[in-house]
Amino acid sequence: MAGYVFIAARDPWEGVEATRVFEMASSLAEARDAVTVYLTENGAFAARAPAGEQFLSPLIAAGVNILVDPFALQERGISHERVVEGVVPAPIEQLVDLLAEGRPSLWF
Amino acid sequence: MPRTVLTLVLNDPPYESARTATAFRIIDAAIRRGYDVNVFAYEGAVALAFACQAPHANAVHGRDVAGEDHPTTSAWVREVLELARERSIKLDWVNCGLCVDERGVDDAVRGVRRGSPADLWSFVNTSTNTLVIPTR
Repeated sequence: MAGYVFIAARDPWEGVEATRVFEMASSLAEARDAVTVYLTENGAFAARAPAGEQFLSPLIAAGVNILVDPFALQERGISHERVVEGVVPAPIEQLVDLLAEGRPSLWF
Repeated sequence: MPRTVLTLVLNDPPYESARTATAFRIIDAAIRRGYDVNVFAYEGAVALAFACQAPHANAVHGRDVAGEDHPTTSAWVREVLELARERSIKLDWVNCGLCVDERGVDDAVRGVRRGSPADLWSFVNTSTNTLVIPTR
């Protein structure tokens, strides 16, 4: 099946690696591939409004599907009301189902 | 219809990273979804299933072993193996043998087997998908 799954577990403020992978996800989406980014662990910080838009708005504009792990949000005290618009809280079962579709996956 | 098989490659040792807890959440969810799971534990991750791990008290907090309720990763390995058995799901957990020898953690919980990167090669070639969880 076409499409990619990126699992973002790092705080994007920690360094440029996350930004580079987000750029790759965006490029793949612009090339008409279905791309999902799943934010978990410290990657969930990217989902926090209003700071996270700088990372996620370009992805959303490119058509990337962005999911965030509710468990990671809860651990970090981020309420669903404070999540960047367009980012969807999704339990880890949803990530597992995407993997089960055989989509190439990258954890970073 | 062929069964869905997910392979996870784990590298982190116990008690070091949130990635370990997330990996167990993925394994647990996959089993509950009815997917077969392969785990290839490499490098420090071979200690996840080390049977000699023991829960401990916490004198600083004034709690005994029961009160501290400190989890061990070997208990989590036992639990996912048991969950898979209950649901007739295949969970094949392989520890890299050389990594085990290097660390002296050969006493793994029952149900975990010793293997080599050849097992990982086989897993990758027969799985629906493979997820590598790196150490960093």
